[in-house]
Amino acid sequence: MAVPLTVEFSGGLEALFNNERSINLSLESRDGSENSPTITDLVVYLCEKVMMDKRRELFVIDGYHVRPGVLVLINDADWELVGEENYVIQPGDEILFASTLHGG
Amino acid sequence: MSRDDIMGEIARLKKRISELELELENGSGDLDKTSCNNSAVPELDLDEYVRYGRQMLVPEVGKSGQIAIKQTKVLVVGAGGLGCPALLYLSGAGFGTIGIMDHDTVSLSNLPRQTLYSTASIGKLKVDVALDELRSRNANVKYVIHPVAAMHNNIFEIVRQYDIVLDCTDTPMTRYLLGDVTRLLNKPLVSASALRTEAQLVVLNVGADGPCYRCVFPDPPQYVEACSDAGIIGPVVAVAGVLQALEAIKLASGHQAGQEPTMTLLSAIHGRPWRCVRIRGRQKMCMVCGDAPIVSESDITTGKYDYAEFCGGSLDSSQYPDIDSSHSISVRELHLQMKSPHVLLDVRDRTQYEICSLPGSISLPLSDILGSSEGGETALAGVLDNVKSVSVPLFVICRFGNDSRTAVQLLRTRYRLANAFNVMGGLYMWSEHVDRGFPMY
Repeated sequence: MAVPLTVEFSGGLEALFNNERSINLSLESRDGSENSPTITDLVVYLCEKVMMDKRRELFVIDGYHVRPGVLVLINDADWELVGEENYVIQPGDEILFASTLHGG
Repeated sequence: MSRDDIMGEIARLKKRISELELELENGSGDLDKTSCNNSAVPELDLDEYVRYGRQMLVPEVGKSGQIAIKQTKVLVVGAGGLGCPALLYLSGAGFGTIGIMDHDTVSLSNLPRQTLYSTASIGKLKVDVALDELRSRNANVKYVIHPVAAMHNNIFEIVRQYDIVLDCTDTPMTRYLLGDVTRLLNKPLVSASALRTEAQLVVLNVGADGPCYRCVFPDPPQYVEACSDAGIIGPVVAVAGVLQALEAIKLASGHQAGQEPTMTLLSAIHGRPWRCVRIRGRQKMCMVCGDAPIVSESDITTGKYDYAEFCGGSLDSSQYPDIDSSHSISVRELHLQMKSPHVLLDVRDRTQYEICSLPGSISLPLSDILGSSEGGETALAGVLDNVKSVSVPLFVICRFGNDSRTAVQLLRTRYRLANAFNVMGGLYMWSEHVDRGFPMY
């Protein structure tokens, strides 16, 4: 089942996605099943279909794990609160990938 | 001098002494006065009623809040883009003691956003200038300066002297160190950061389930950009610094952050300008405050726990490849070579290229070469064809001569371009040694 969602990038990550800061997607589960897609499905999709930049390591490590230094916020909540990579995406979700900042 | 004159002089001096003693007692002079070690609740001086009146009129502060603020000692680590606005408002709010920690001196590029400093401050220690500035604004506050960098072997003894700490620093290593130390000493930490058009703010170590810095960011970032490279808009970082002062006022006057921990994100230009997002609480697995902590005070002070190692040492220039000296030229050599046919490739990003560039240079950002986006690939292919067909040398230049090393190594290995040369020291050295009129930024 395809689920519509909005993905946003900030803190410099947008540079990896052709400087797009917000994209609307309709996402299906990777295995083609009727199951709703998870965050992992989304990360794989972003890496394979959206990211033109070859420096994948700036976004993910060890396969498709979001690298340290990137906050993942699902509807304005830390993804740790809702299941991290296994969170099942709901229609209309807003998912923000934000680089943590260190300047001061 | 007659006997009467002498007696008169003695009387005048005695009167002056008692006036000064009274002043000292009432604390209206600029000497140390608000020692919070005193168990007695400090009263407000008459001038403080006037000075802080507007703030005290707010019911959420009131007189009790003002006295609580006066009893609070706050430490600001980093007197830069975050620290300056934070310090101004902490001083204005009437904190009893304000510690200012920074080992750096003022430079010209600080002035647009580090608002405690003026042109005359350039070259002076930031803490010295900040002290004078703040004292001239509010001498009721006791200021303590710490002209040192936050290190594993000095930070505990300093943080111990304060009630609240503001992290206004700019490197992950210091942020982790400060995060761990404040957690271990159980001091609230108001942490902020900013870059380009964005800022982030979080209040840590508050409440039983409040997270520490390491709970929120268990793993160090692998790629970090600094304001000196990626840029910063002054008011963006200033807003974050002012918010830090506000959080300190809230903490001191008894308005602890909400029950659930949050992070505030400011995006000044793109998308939603403000977000307040819910973040994780204290983590059971946290190395410092989890159920089985593995980092203690002595691990840190003795250097047994190594922050440089933890942060991966990825932040120094060692991440750039060494280029053989036969593959490098100085800016003076470049100057000579520019009289013969050549290609000069500038690998800075387009924003920097637009600021200033050498005549005849071609712009191709390193990120385009590394990322090989479609446009970057085409542009690079064009340059390579040109260089190979006419067999001229390719000189690669950037701002400081670091990114150009990465580019030259890539061109020589991946693209087998044998006549690619790194311009050592980049445009900075060009400006120093060839053309003093070439702008540096």
